[in-house]
Amino acid sequence: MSQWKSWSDEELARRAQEGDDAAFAELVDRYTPVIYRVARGMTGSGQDAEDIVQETFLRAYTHLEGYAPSQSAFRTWLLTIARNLAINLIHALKRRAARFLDDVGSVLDTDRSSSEPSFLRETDTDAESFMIRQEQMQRLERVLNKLPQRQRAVLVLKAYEGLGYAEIAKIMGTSESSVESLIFRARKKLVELLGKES
Amino acid sequence: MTCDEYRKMASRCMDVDPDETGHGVLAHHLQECHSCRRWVELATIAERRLEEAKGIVPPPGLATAVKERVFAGNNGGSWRILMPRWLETPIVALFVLVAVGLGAVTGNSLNQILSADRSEEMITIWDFDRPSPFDEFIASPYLHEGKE
Repeated sequence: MSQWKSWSDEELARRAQEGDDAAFAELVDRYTPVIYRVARGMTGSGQDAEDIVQETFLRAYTHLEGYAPSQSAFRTWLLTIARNLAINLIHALKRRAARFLDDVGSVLDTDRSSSEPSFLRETDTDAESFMIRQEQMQRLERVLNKLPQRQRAVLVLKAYEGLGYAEIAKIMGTSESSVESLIFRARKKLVELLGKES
Repeated sequence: MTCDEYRKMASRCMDVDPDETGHGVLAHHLQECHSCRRWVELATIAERRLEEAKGIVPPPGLATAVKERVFAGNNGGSWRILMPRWLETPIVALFVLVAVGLGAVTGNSLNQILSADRSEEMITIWDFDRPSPFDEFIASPYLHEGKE
């Protein structure tokens, strides 16, 4: 649907609100990678991230009439839905803690082959550097999973998607100064954990 | 200021352009404090590693699967494009008004039309002593033609 490429998210959302499914399909194409990365960063699981992507767009489509471009950017609105779903999922997983601890390891091991970082797949031909980078990514995901949920969320939104404090604050439903503190605490913890691992 | 406060300032500097004063104070502290300098180095490395994760891509076909699921219950996409959602309610309201209007023209309210007991009327209309078209057909001479 190249006809939509020049349209802004908000224009597409307005068209979708008027019933144009092709406009919503373009939003799905645009934001599937973003939601997947954030969800995966927050849950540490590819399978959970896929579920969150599906559910996020389903909810967005169902509640599209509730979206007001004057109040927030479409990306912010969509990421807020995704973040809430990820938190719900994390809470549900915590309730099933024993099963969760068993599953995370196997999910991370098995789904990595289907969703490797593209820079590894496209450019790395050297097997040794591939292994080193893979090990680094696994280590990073392990460490990220040890962060408290809110710290992990802000760090993922900041580092993966490059969002500013103001947008993260909207998504998290908090103030910019809280976001700043959360990011600082997350970095402290990250440095501490990475230091311990090495 | 404590080392923790300097580190918080450094963390902010990694995200937002620092103001001149703050940057000068921080730079001065980092020159003197090895521990904080090491912390900033590690935090920067960690940040860079996280940014590398931007390369994570969803499994192929996920967007298609999402669209299939989202639109699964919406077979009426084409008419929805022709008729925007905001028109749905006024159109339903129009149908109700037309129905009430017709009722008024025929002299009955909508309630009367819907709740009227037609059984008496049917009994009056239906004369049980009168032969039905089926009886007439059975008795017709054409049916018995050639049997004799």
